[in-house]
Amino acid sequence: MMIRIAEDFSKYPMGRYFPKDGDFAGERFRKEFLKPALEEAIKLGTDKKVTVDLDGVRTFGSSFLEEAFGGLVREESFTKAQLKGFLQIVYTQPELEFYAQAIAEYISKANHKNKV
Amino acid sequence: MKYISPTRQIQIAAHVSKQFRKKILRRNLLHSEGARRPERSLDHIRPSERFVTRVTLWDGHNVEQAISIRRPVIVPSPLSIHENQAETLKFLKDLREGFAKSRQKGNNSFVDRRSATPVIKRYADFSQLSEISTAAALIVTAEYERVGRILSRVPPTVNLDLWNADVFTKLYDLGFFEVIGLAEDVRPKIYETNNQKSMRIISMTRGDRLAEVDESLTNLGSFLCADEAVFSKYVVEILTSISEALANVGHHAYPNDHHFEIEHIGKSWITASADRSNGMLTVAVYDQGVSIPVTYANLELMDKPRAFLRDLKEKVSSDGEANPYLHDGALISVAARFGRSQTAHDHRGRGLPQMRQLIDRIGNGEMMIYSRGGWCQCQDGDRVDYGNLPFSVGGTLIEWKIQVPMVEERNDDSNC
Repeated sequence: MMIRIAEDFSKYPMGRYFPKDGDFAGERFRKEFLKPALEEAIKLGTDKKVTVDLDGVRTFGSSFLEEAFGGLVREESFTKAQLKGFLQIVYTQPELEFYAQAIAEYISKANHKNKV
Repeated sequence: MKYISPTRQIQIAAHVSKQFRKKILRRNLLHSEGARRPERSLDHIRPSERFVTRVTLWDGHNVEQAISIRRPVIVPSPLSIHENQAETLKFLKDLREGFAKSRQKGNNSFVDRRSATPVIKRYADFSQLSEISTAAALIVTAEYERVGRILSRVPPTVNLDLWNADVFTKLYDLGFFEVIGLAEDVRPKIYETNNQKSMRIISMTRGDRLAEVDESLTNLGSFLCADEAVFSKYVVEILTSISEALANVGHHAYPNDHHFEIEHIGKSWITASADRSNGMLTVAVYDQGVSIPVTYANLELMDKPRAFLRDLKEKVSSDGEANPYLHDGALISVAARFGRSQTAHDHRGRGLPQMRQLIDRIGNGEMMIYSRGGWCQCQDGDRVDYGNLPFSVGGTLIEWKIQVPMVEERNDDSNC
């Protein structure tokens, strides 16, 4: 399943919390796009990945990225192994590599909220 | 409502003069016929402040003559935090507090019309201002918009015909009169003057107008003859930093549980300018929030930033006088280095460091943060300097200055 952030959600995603930070906050992207797509992919099997396309997005604030992607582990209880197996980030613009790496870092450093 | 071009200003001034002459004639005739006008008492004003003068007011609709009975506040020149820091910050502080006093006294009108001739209360005299920086214009615009929104009434301009043409043009083209409601929002978002091109000030809540900022920045890049592929990357980095700045404002600047001495309207203001003479792009974001030193000081910091801050505080000298801003610069520098990491929420608080990363990733630039009574300068190569300000900036101003690489060959006849 392909999720194109710029086309499906917003070219200018911003902030963490919905609706407090606006209509295009990380929490909303995670709950309305990432979470259902990942649950579906996990249910269907290992050859079904969720592909998130970064092309065309114009803002990559840490608030948005961390809440959207780090929040998958922290808030939604996905394991890091599941995300490694079922989530992939794609882009064609070379400068977006930095943000793809940032997403990987946020996932890597996230801990479930109930873990001390 | 119509906007007033510089040429039109002169025409208005001539027209007003004729009107003024007619009014003088009428008044003289009435006096000669024994008509009585109520005398304006100045007893409530200190003698040193009594300064009766005739002025011309423009409220966006009409031009009218009035009387000022107090000595005006002279706007210092240049009005620039970089070039004239103490006077500029003092003026901005007085402007802010003056407007707040008006609200506290319940004065919804800036012009007293009880007398036959309208009387303007204390006003800021812009006629002696010869230069205003973009950042200072941003803060002035924010103050006027704040008082306008809270009182539903904007201070009229005074003696607009006497303003320096360059200052008037800059404020006009930055959209000062539109943002504060004295003119209609009808002009393009970008204006050009000689070697400079600027983006009109955008006042926004959260990130609702980022698309406009994107378009304007791209336009400024073309003006600088920037390498398009490179500049496109810069715009994404800059927009990312702006979005983080706005997210920070949303989270921290206007908390409901904070007692603001001066009422706020919960907004941020953005502008940008490009200087072709040196390839410099400047972007500025301002808010009237609680400020970084206030929020950061209240956080439970992790070990590393706490130790760093302790060392910085020890180095800050104290001359024995109470200085509420003594550690502001140090606090801002720690926030810029480490973010707002809290022990319980260490996934948050990366906004300021990410904004600083813009300079590191682009290279050849700097970020200045002015917040309450402190400043912090971040340059590429992890160089950070900080200090204190003589007066509060009334919120937080973040300014990025970036040297933009330009194309070597110019193919476009019209611009580059």
